Amino acid sequence: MSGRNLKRDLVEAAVRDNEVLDRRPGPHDDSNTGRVRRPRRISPWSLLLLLPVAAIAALGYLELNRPEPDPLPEVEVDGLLQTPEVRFTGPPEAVDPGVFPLPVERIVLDPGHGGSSPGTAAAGLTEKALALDIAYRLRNLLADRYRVAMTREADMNVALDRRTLIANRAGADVFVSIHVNWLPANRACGVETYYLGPTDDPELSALAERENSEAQGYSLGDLRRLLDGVYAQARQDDSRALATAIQHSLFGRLRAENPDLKDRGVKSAPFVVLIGAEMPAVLAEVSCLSDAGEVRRLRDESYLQSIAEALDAGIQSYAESRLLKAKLSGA
Amino acid sequence: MVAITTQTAVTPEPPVLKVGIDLGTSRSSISAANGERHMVRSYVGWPRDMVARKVLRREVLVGIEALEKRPMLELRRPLERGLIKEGSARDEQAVREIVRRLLDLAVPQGRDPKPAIHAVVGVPAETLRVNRQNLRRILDGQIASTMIVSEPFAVAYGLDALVHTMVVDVGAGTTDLCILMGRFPTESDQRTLNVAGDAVDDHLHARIEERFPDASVSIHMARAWKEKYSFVGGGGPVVVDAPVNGRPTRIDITEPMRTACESLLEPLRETMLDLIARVEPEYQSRVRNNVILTGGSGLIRGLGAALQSSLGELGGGRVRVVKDPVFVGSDGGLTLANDVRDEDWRRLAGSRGTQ
Ligand SMILES: Nc1ncnc2c1ncn2[C@@H]1O[C@H](COP(=O)(O)OP(=O)(O)O)[C@@H](O)[C@H]1O
Ligand SMILES: [Mg+2]
Ligand SMILES: [Zn+2]
Repeated sequence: MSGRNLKRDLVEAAVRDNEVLDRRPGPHDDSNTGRVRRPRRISPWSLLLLLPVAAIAALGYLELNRPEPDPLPEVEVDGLLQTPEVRFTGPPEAVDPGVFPLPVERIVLDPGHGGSSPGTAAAGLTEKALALDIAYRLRNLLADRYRVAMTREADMNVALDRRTLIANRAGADVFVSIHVNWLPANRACGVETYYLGPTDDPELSALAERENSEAQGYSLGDLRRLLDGVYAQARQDDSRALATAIQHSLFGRLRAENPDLKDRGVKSAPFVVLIGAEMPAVLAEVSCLSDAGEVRRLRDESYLQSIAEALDAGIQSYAESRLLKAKLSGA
Repeated sequence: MVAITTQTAVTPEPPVLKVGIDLGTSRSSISAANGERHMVRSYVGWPRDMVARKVLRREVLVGIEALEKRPMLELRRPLERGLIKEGSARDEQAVREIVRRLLDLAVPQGRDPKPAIHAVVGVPAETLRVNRQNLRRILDGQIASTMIVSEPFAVAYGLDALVHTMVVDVGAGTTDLCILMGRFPTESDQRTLNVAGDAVDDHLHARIEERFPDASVSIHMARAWKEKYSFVGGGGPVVVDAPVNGRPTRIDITEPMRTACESLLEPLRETMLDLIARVEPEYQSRVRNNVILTGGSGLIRGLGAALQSSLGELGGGRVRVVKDPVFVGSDGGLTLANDVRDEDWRRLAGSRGTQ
């Protein structure tokens, strides 16, 4: 082997080694079983959640100006945040997970943008910061029933394909990407939820192309080819169901606080951030920074909390519907 | 989602600065593509109280300064035993401060935009095994794109010693050994021992106190003497001035020095032989003849020769000593950083995208 080739191979191996997220061996290491197991005991990490908010704030890398909800002790992408027992459908111990796996146990939340990609912005608010804030709140809501992890926990760059890689490696059952929209001047604000699929709507194509701009080197044509291999999979139905549940919940709950809110519906579009996902995956536009009224509401923590609660309820209703489906199909 | 504002939201791509960083248990260094090379002690201190804060007028001190002001500080040495204590926010913060200081030293000040840092970070093999994911997160705010490797791998890469080689890096808190066989070293190719310079200091300090109960010698004095007079095998005499009952007195510490330094030999020998035994038999003699001794404690006089003679029991070998080990790790990291392709840097980044 020539020296040059050897070095190239070693560099490649080093890159790969760094890309593969570290697996922590231990009692919860499911790497060989394929199927996700519920943790049987409370991990020390979940106890750390009780640490005062100061811990991460002191680390000084979160750029949110609001006090953070609980800090997460570590971005342990693979081991996931191990929360206490799942208990959203009766006593889990009664069910042998090998025979009857819960359809939704692990959730990966993806706060859109981050780092040098602020997303959309208005009047001092940025999409990246709002998405992160809402994701933190949502995680806290979900954490008593699910194991939840985030693709980023601070203001940092995370490549689009890495976001789904994280979810795949974590064996996530659901992937939810959180974004805030910007609509043309004369449009009233609305919420909308996307799942991965083709679109013939030129406006959506343009939209997807811009949203995908963080992804290096994909043309829309490339995306189409990529997508061809993906559509066939059954998870598109699940993704649509998840999008529908979330959209329904978002609109239903937020309309109470903003009577002018529009239901922009469930749509499919070719978003790179959804392509790699091996599980039902959606992208939710939970608000609009182009709307002065929404900007005002988004400054209010209680509105951010409402958005998180709406997403929580949407995910919950999806999970329950999948459980019902699994039961009916006689698993 | 950016639908309409994308045009205006575009930010220009900042310039990139590639660096190699060696996060050591006692010294950390940086070698940057712009030619800057700097070393800081791996110590970080925070003022203990209001008074200390007033006196020091600083929120945090890093490096030699922290060491000097240690009575006023809550002092941390985050990688002391080769591991970042898990869940210890202080230690994590200390790592961040060290890296921040290194970057401040290497990045020209007052220039905008600040370059995006692409860094290869070398750490003890054990840190790599246990703390990598954690470390990644710790560095995330400061480094745009990070590759973390074991320190001996960075050294080997920089020296172009990648085939049939063994790197023995004897530092302060840890000794890292790694076998290079022309493939990316796996866990079983590497070992981290907690026996290194610090252990010699402790040993020496204890021996001196034993022998001269009336002398008052601090661990820092012992370390300073070691760095001047250390040896294994034949050497000495070592005579130093130490306060005995308050009066400077000459004491002969030749034997304490020899015993302390030689305490490294047995664990090193054993681990080297163990690693060599795992190599395919036909390559073992090449590896034996290609041992590279590096790290600050590799400078102990006679250590290389002693390790070489312990290879005699396997049929002989050759140990070469790196004469100026301070930057050999960070230089290797930089060499590696330069060889990583841009697209791979983007992948490791979590990437900044196209704009
Ligand atoms: N000339 C020397 N002789 C013996 N030991 C030395 C010498 N110079 C430095 N050391 C020791 O080397 C160690 C630091 O080496 P280094 O490779 O920088 O460690 P690390 O990488 O673990 O921070 C310390 O224990 C220091 O006392
Ligand atoms: Mg070192
Ligand atoms: Zn967005």
